[in-house]
Amino acid sequence: MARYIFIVSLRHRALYDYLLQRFSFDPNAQVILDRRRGERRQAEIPAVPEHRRADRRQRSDVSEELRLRSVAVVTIP
Amino acid sequence: MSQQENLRIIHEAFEAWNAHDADRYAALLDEGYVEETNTRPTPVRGREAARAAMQEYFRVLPDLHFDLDVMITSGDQVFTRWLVTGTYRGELMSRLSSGRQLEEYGCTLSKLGEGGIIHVWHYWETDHMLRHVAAQ
Repeated sequence: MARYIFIVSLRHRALYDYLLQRFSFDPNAQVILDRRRGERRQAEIPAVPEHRRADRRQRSDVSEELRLRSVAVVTIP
Repeated sequence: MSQQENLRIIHEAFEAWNAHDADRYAALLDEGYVEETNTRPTPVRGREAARAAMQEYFRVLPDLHFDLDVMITSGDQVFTRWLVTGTYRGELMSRLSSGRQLEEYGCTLSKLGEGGIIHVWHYWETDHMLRHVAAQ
């Protein structure tokens, strides 16, 4: 069964609080608040070993999504 | 109900919104249905109130439309992320506001049971003019 991580932008604290409450008893869902600052997000982009690039790319996509939207969802198959 | 069935019901609920079919939407709701948003001070309770609230949205935004980009089901809940678009009309809005385009991001968390949709919570990502509707 898939698991889901809801990553909520720091700008949408009310959404974070609500999702955290509603998924608190769901073992397949995790809700986290994206506390990273812009400078740190940029710092994550530099070159990394090959096996970690896909993960970094996903993080970069999430950062871009959170720049535009309140929440990003990562699915763990 | 299975998670797949929950997903189907919520998908149909948004289809009803996009078809502007309040009866079809109301038929998917549990008797004890409650609808809340982060912009409306009091919840909508029951099928009839939900139908009336929906029709009010359509009166103010006659071309209201949801585009869904994320749908996730886990347990008895379904999370949906959307973009809603529409054009303001109606006497609620000032002459300057009438004709203004709505383009708003948000998401909905729905809880389902054997009788259908029990509870929904809509989260609008920005403060917007639909507060005029919500205040009704």
